[in-house]
Amino acid sequence: MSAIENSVAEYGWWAVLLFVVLGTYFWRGLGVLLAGHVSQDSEVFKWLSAVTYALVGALTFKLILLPIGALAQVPMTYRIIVCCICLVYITKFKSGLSRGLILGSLLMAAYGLFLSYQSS
Amino acid sequence: MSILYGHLVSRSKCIGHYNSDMDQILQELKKADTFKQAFHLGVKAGLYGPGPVLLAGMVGFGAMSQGVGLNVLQATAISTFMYALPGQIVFIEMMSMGASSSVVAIAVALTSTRFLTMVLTLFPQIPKEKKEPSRMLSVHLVAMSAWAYCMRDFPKMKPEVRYGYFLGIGILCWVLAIPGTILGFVLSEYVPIWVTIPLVFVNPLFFLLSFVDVVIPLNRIAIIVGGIAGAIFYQLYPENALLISGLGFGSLVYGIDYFRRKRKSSS
Repeated sequence: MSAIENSVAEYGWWAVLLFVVLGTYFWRGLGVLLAGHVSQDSEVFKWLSAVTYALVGALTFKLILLPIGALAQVPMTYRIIVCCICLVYITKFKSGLSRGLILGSLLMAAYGLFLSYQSS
Repeated sequence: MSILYGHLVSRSKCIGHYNSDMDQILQELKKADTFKQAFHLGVKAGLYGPGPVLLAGMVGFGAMSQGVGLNVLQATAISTFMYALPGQIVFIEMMSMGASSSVVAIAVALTSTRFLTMVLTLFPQIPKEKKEPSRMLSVHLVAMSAWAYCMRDFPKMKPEVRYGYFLGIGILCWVLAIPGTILGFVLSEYVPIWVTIPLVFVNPLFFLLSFVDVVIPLNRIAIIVGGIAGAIFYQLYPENALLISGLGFGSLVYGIDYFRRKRKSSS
C-alpha cells in the first residue's frame, strides 16, 4: 500500500482518483474474464455481498444521520421522519422507487422553504 | 429544477412496472433482429426507464461534491471514470474526512464488488460474436441502471441482438452522468437552500429505498448491522468508519450466518 501513499504524495488528489477508478473497474473487468467459468453460489460471493451491503448500509445511515453541508441544517428528527414516510409510501402503497424519491425531495424542499422563510 | 422534477414525475410510472411507452418498446424488441435496431430501442428504453433516476442521482452527486469543496472538473471526472454512485460518494466522503488514500482505495474497491456478480449474471446471456465491440470496454457501462433493465428484458428478445440493447441503455445512461454532475454542481452554487437540501438528499434516500428490494436475509441483516455500526463508528473513528463497518461487521454477519448454516446441516 505504500506505493499508493507515495504516488499520492507526488500527484495528490488525481492519483487517489486513479486508484479508486482502477479499484472500481477491477470488479467489472474480472467479471468479463470469469463469465461462464465460476458459480455464483460459492461462499466467496456470499461474503462479498455481505461486505458490500454492510458498507453501503453504513454509508447510507451516515449520510442520513450525520450529514455535512446543507443537509445538516435539517433537524435529525425531520430527516428520520421523511425517510420513514418514504419507506412506508413505497412498501405499503406499492408505488415505484422514483415516486418515493420525489416525495422525499418535496418534503425536504418544504423544510428548506420553511428555513428561508424563517431567516428572512 | 422544476423541469427535472416534472420529467421525473411524468416518467415515474415506468420504474418497477411497465407503462404504455415501455410496453411499446418491448413489442418492438421482440421483433428486432439487427444490432442497430436493438441499440436504438436500448437508447429509448434508457430515456423512459433508468435515465431520469440516474440523472437525478448524478445531479445529487454534483451538488454533494460542490459541498465538500471539489471543483467541477474533479466531480465530472469522478462520474465519468468511476460511474458507480455509492463508490463515488464513499470516495468524496472519506477524502473530506481526511482518510488515508490507501484506506479510501480499499473502501471504494469493496463498495464496487457488486459489479462482479452483476457482470457474471448479465454477460453470459449475450452470445459471443466474432466482430463485436470489446467487452473489456463496454463492461464499464454495467451499473445498476442498465443491469436491472437488461436482466428484465433479455429473456424476451433474440439473443443475437442483446448486446446492442445493452449498449444502447448503457451508453445513454453513461452520457447522462456527465451533464447531470455538472448541472448539480453549478446549481448548488447558485440556488437557494430549499433546492440544495433535496439535491444532496436524493442519493442517501435512493440507497435507503432500494434496500427494500434486497430479499436475501443475510444481506438485509448486513445492511442493518453495517448501518448501525457506521453511525456509531463515524463518531469514534470518522476516517476509518466505513471500512470498519463494511469489512469488519459485514464479515462478522457473514461468519455468524456461515456457522449457523454449518450447524444446521450437520444436525
